[in-house]
Amino acid sequence: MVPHDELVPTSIKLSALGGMAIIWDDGHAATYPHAYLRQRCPCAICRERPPEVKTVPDPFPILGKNPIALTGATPIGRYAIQFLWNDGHAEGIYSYGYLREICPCKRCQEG
Amino acid sequence: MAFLEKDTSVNKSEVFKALKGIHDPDLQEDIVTLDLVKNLTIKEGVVGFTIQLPNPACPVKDQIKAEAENAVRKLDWVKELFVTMDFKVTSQQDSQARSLIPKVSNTIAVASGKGGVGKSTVAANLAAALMNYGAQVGLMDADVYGPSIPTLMGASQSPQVIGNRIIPPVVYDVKMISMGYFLPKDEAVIWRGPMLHKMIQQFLGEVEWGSLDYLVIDLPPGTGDIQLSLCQTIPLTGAVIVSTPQDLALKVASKAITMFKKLKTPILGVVENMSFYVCSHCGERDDIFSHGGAQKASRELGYPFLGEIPLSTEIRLRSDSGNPTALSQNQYSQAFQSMASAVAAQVSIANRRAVQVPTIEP
Repeated sequence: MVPHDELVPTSIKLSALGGMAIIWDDGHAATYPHAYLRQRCPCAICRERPPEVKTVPDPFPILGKNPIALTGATPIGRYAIQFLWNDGHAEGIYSYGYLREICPCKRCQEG
Repeated sequence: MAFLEKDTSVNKSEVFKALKGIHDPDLQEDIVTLDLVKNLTIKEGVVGFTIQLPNPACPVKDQIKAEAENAVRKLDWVKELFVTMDFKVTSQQDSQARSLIPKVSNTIAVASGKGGVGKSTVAANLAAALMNYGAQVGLMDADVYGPSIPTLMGASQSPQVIGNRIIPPVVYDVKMISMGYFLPKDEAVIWRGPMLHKMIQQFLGEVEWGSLDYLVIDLPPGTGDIQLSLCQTIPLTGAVIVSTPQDLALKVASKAITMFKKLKTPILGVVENMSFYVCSHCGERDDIFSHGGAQKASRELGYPFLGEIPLSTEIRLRSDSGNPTALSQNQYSQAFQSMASAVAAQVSIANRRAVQVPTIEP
């Protein structure tokens, strides 16, 4: 098996049925629901933010726009992709290795 | 006469067939499949064509020309033959088109782990040698802490700022930019990451580089903000790692290699600087840093070895006075020229097997 950090996506469709669809250069294909992808945003702000408390109304509704959706993406160098969201958040740089690591497909989740 | 009765297209395919036996030494495929044979004309037995190699510094250019001539002369209808050798530097069009600098075909970062191994000397001479082979070259000094490119290239002019565009000075036909131009002599750059990132973006996007075959980028030592910003801002064609042959330097060089691997930037190869010393008095050679260490390390790591540069007073004197050794006529210029040729070869190989940036659809 090729290690995760050597794989590269060949095509990305931001708004496919069920989320963002990726096809990898090893042929693997998967769809990431937008909310799932956003919850795993690797930016410092998202990683440090305390878990959301559901009972209190969100004081910053702009950060919790519902439903969350992708509006764009930019490749970063050769190793990562930066996603732009409909609430203006764009800080997360998802390396290809990380994207593959969080692949939501059944096979990857179980393996 | 036989050749008049034959259809020209038949003759053309005979010429292509004859040339199919000739291989590009870097890409190891025949020159017809690679589409390097251009402007083929045939008129009454007079044949003319151009071979357009991807490497401007191909060391076996004359040999390829001779082989091509021999192969085509074997066709009985050929009376006269004119073969022209030319070059056209390749690029990774896919990723380049979306880059901040779409008219720059290739970007080569010159890096090391440790400081003081001669990165800037290698970068300046690489740029000068590539220019000397006929390529369009730019040289970007990304070492803000110790900008030495202006000294090495002997730049007396300063860049001009027109509106928000920076017109780079041209020295030895190489377009150059450096933080050294924007700082008073005794000032130092004491910046945090975001400022460095901004500088990298300005040096790439706001400088009038025009069309370039190669942009050589001299990095500061280490694996810090500037390296990261550069790899994030543009899809680099590749990185050249400079090291002295001693173990200490090689251990640190491997850190730089690891960083580029993580950022998926291809490693074009390793240059061994200060490879050996020849005493100017007695002529005896001394392997001060133990010769061959970088070559051995590059072989073990599986990266091409790009050449060895000796430690010499002459190179040092020329560097300090802004006369790149690569452009001189002495025993040392050859070392830089063959290194540049090896780098150009690795660039065309990297472009051939490049992984493309993924396509993104809405």
